[in-house]
Amino acid sequence: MEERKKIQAELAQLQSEQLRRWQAQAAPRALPENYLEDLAGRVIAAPAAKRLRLPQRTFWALAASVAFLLAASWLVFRDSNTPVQPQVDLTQLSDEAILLYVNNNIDEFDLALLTEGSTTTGTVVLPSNWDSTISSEAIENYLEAEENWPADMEDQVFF
Amino acid sequence: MCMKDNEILTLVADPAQRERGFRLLVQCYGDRLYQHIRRLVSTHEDANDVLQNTLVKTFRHIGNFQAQSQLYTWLFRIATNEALSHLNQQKRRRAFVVLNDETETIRGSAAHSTQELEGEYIRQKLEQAMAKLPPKQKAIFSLRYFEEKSYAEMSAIFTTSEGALKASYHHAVKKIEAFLRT
Repeated sequence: MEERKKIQAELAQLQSEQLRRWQAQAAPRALPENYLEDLAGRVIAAPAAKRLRLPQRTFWALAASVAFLLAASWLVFRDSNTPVQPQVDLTQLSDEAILLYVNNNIDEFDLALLTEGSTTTGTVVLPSNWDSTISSEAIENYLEAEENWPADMEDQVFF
Repeated sequence: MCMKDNEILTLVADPAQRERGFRLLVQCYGDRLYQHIRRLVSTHEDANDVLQNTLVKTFRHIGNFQAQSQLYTWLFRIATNEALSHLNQQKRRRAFVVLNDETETIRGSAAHSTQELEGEYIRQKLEQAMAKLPPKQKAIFSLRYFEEKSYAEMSAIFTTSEGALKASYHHAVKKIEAFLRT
């Protein structure tokens, strides 16, 4: 009753005359006979069954979400764990094998980088059939002799 | 005549008396819970489902009720949550819902006297107006206007500040009053 007075005063303050006059005048809805007694009995008889009931729609939505997450995770981890190139132990390869590979795939390499690598380490990579008995002096003489230059060098097609 | 809350709780705490205690609880609070739920949902069938879910949860968890709040507050909190969840599910399913209207018949008994007819007319007009409110505002209006709950009690039910509840109730009053004037 005390709270009703407060509500009445509040409604008057809000200038809600109709609601103020109608408060506590609305008829409650009538319930079917023995409705509450029957409902209490049903609740007592079947609480466990109610507990287990999961809406089918919710179940399938949940199952689809889990399946999607598993598939997405598998794809992501598979891609991140796959090596870009096979791992090879370079120490097991012979110099000849490396040289052969480089010669066969020369277009794939940065020649400037290869040259830099060979000069900075102080070694010169020579082919395996290199004749080591030819002296450096003989080589220089050969390169400087003009007659050894091809006459139509400018017109040669190198590529 | 309702038994006191602590007597009901004593009965439900005893496994041998649990069912009796629960039946007394339903006898004491069932009608008020139904009326509150029925103001929020559209049909008796919906209200029946929501009330049944409310009572199932009550029966399962009443052993854990700590009596830190009133039994009434705890029951209305469960009922309001169940009703709002039901309305959300209904909205998601986009089911066709028949709103309360003047043509709906009253179950159980028919009104005869002028006073009864007037009471029904008022209830129907108020329910039509409430149907225009958002679900939570509707629940706030129902608890304040019909159940005559204080803002402090409603704050425990909604876990919302009293100020926010007051503002929401005032909005609802303005909307309903405007509807009733049309």
